[in-house]
Amino acid sequence: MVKPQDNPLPKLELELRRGALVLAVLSQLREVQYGYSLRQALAVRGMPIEEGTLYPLLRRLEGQGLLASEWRIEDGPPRRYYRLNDAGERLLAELTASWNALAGTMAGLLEGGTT
Amino acid sequence: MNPNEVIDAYLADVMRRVPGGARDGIDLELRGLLADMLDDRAREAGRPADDAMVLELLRGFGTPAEVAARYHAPSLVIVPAEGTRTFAWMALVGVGLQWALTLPGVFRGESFARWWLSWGLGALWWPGLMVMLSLLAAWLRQRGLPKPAWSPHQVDPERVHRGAMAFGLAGFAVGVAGMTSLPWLVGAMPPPLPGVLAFDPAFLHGRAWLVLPLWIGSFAVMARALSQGRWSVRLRRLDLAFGAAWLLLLGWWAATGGMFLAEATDQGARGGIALVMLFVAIDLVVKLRRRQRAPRLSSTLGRRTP
Repeated sequence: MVKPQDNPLPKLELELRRGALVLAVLSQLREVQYGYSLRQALAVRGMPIEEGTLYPLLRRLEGQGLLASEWRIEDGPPRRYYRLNDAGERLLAELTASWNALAGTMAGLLEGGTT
Repeated sequence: MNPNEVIDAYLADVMRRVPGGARDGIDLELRGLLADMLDDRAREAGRPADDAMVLELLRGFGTPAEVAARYHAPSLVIVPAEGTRTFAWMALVGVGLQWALTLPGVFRGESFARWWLSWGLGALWWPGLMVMLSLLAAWLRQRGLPKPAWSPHQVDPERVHRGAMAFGLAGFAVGVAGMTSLPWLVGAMPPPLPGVLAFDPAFLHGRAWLVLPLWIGSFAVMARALSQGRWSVRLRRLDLAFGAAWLLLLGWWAATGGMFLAEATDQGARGGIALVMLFVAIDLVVKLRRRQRAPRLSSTLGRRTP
């Protein structure tokens, strides 16, 4: 019998989500967002992400030349706003196609069972 | 401390750990993020943010070290996961062996503090060397050093790798030539080496000569195996017999001492001989186990063969 603390589901689910994280973030950066607003946009759509994880990810994506960023001071503290640049748009399109293909494959595998 | 001071102190701890060039940006980013998160919490609680609320927020956000780690690129792997166990064992056995060989002096009345400041701490050169070699290997891996192609293990354990064995025999001959000429070489060395390395004449005339037939015999057995290309049963038995004879001779020398005139040199030589005996014993055990396994392996292969 599987003990509650041995239940592997949460960890495996987290790994699944982690794999889709970059695509989820890129999808929300077609519009200009700063970190906290992006996090809320993702959470509202059912993709919560730890704040501590999101900011380093945004920096990495920018370092890879996929995002453009600028500092803005409006009401509140200075905030760094991000959005996709051309390379980011292209990658988003390619990753979306890969995701759709993968989702189709997985659906076939899961519905087909062992037949 | 007010909430802003708590956040300042927290961010100062984080900033000490993040890459220097990115500090300003990360500081501003985290400051904005924490301010937004704190505003949300205060709104949900229906009261202004206070110290306790900030502390709870920061503790949930992670320790400064954890937060800083998220901003670092994956670091260089010095010891790959599959090699960690071997690395740990080699490091521990290497240190343990040096301690085992040198610690008995403490039980014979030598100063523990003196041992600790010499061999005790000195034995740590071994894990240090292992780390340096691992760093070099990691650097070479990172530079994309071509990986050696996999090849199947030698199925026949008695087959001789001729290149390696020829190299070993050449080294053997050079070593023996050096050792046998040492008593004459010592006399030609500059002072104080002749005094330090002078052999005891009684040892040279009484016990040292026994090494010559063992050297000649071992060399002949290995040369025969090299020429045949494999170890026959007879050669393997002779090899084991010579191994056992080496253990006996070295054990006799180490137990009785008196090889060198200088006491310190003699003690060092006995320690060295004990180490060589350990290697010879390990070699003997490995060879004996291989001999025991070989018939099992051949019978298993025989059963599988249609």
